[in-house]
Amino acid sequence: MRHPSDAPRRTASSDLAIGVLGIAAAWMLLYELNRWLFGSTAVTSNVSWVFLPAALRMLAVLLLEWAGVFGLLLGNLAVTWMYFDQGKGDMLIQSTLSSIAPMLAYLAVRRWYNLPRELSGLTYRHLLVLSIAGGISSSILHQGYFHLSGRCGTQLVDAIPMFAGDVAGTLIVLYTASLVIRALARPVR
Amino acid sequence: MTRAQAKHSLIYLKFLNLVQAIREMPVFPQMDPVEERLFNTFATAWHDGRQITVLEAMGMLPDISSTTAHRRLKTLRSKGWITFLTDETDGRVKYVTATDQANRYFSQLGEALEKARAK
Repeated sequence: MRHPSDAPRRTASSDLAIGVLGIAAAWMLLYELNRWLFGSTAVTSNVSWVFLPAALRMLAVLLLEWAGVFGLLLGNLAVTWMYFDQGKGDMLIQSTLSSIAPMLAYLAVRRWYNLPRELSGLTYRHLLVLSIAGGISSSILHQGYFHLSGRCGTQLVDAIPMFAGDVAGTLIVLYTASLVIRALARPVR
Repeated sequence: MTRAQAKHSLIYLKFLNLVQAIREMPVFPQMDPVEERLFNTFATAWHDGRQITVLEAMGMLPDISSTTAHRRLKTLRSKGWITFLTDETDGRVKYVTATDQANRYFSQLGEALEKARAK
């Protein structure tokens, strides 16, 4: 027999699943858009001076926290599977690092600024700090992994464009979103 | 409130706070009240065709100390609203002049006033 409380619980989990899949799909779309718009700024096959999906990392963890991380992981795995010729272990580790990095930055920034879970008091300054913290954590985790796995040749040099690309991509998306929100929120005459 | 409802409310609250923060992203460098008063005073003088030296600018607001005014001149310059031009004959004299950004700003304000007047 079904318990009456099953219905809302099922709704909540299905909504969360939609959110996770939405983030994964958005990651793939942004990745494709980035390749199309900023393909010429690519330093290596997976490092670019402008990386738009970095903004999604931040927004996903801000809104959905660990569910957002899972969505990012799915998106990362899909993109890596489609575009890169990597071993399964390498693919899983790099995708996990890419997805966890923004969560670490989010937790650190929330703790540093004493931000509540519902994010009241969040300002654009926090977002700017978070974008920089996200870029740093992503670069450190990736470069640390490359170093530990013995690929420390040119990979360490890629930390700078990786960081700059993450921050630039995040700022481009945030400013575009800001302009769109302002335009939509303009009072109707 | 059920757990599911609480979770939905939390995500919605986060979304609202996030949209508000994104909306407030600074598009142009903003001026603080002292900078704005100084800048408006300069605008009046520029409109009258007067040249303002840095020394004059520091004394244009009687209720603001020259140190504060000088500091604000530097921040206005760093924000791209004004620039300093050295006098051609006397290298010790510097003039405060409007940048392209400032001229565009005046032009936009003028257009907005014109639209408001036409209504």
